[in-house]
Amino acid sequence: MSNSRPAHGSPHPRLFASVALLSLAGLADSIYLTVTHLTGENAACFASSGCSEVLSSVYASVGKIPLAAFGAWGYFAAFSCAILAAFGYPRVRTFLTVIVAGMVVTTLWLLYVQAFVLHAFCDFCLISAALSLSLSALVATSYFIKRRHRPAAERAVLLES
Amino acid sequence: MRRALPFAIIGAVLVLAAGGGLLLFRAKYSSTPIKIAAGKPGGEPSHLRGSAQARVTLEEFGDFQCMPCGILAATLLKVEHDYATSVRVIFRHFPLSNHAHAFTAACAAEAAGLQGRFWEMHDLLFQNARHWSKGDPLPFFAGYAATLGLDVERFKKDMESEQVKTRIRQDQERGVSIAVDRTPTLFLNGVQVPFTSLDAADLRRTIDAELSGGAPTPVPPGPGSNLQTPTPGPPK
Repeated sequence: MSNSRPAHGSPHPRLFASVALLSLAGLADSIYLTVTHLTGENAACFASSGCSEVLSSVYASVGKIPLAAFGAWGYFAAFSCAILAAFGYPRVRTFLTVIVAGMVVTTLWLLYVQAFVLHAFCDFCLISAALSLSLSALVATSYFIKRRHRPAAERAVLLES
Repeated sequence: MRRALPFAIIGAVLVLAAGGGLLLFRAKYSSTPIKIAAGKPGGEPSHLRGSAQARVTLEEFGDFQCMPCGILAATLLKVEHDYATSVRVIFRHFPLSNHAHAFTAACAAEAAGLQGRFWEMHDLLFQNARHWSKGDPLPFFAGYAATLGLDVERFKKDMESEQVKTRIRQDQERGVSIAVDRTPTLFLNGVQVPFTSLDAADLRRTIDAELSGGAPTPVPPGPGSNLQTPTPGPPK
């Protein structure tokens, strides 16, 4: 259980703080879409014209649960992991990676559906897509930075011993 | 203290997200269904399909460019078919400003109505909304008019007429006067059906409950109502 405790601070807290902020934006977007779906309101697009078409399609819900509700949980989970990672909990990075990977796969599928099945785009879905792709870029960057800094960290451990 | 901080942040965000979502939901959704006690009359004669003796009147406020309205239209068609003499449907225009072609589509339906084919055009518009809602819809509407055997030149002229536009506005005014603010909004014998109960199964349950215990519908069709019997399916 030792690696579930916070280490001596995150190697890149700002990066994880950025992940947390992007996740918060995604959470707000998903909550808005969920509420819009549940109340039956027509979401007004501001750039494209397909919000109503996309959000009322069969792809917008799983049974009676709006897909956006799953998105909200995904963003909240990503936010939680990012906060814990920023505070130096190393194990949550793996969870964060798995969550973000799942979100990216879902995003790519939904982009495909909008472009080639529905032939309509929804602004709020595109915002969510941009956010989850940005999250994946940041998480990938955290691994890149980690690898670059590993020799230095290992040297520090050797010096301490 | 520092160990508890990330969990406190996560907890706070969870509470804020849940609370914010709930507030937004409450702001957008009234749990008290609207009851039509009064309100402006809307366009007359109303577009009414179904039996004059029906005990259940479904009054829909719809927008031809709203996809949930298209889904509801298909559901209502099945319901009308299944409850042949017990249910009738009134359609009211409520084109939303955020749908670029919704008002024009309403004009097309009204123009077809002037040649006695409102419901046929209504069904065609909903069935083909995906096609005409992008780009210029007028060639599509003229095509539907031709398919229905209408006088296309008259149809085009009627679409531009003040008579048609006034009628649509009257329906909108009725909607606004009874607090309709979204589409589709459906009333069953004057009581709003919650949006979450607009699927076929829930709607049937609501209608059955009304038929088993409800009083006859209080809104008889006027002498000039645009009454049509239910059609078994969409026009070919």
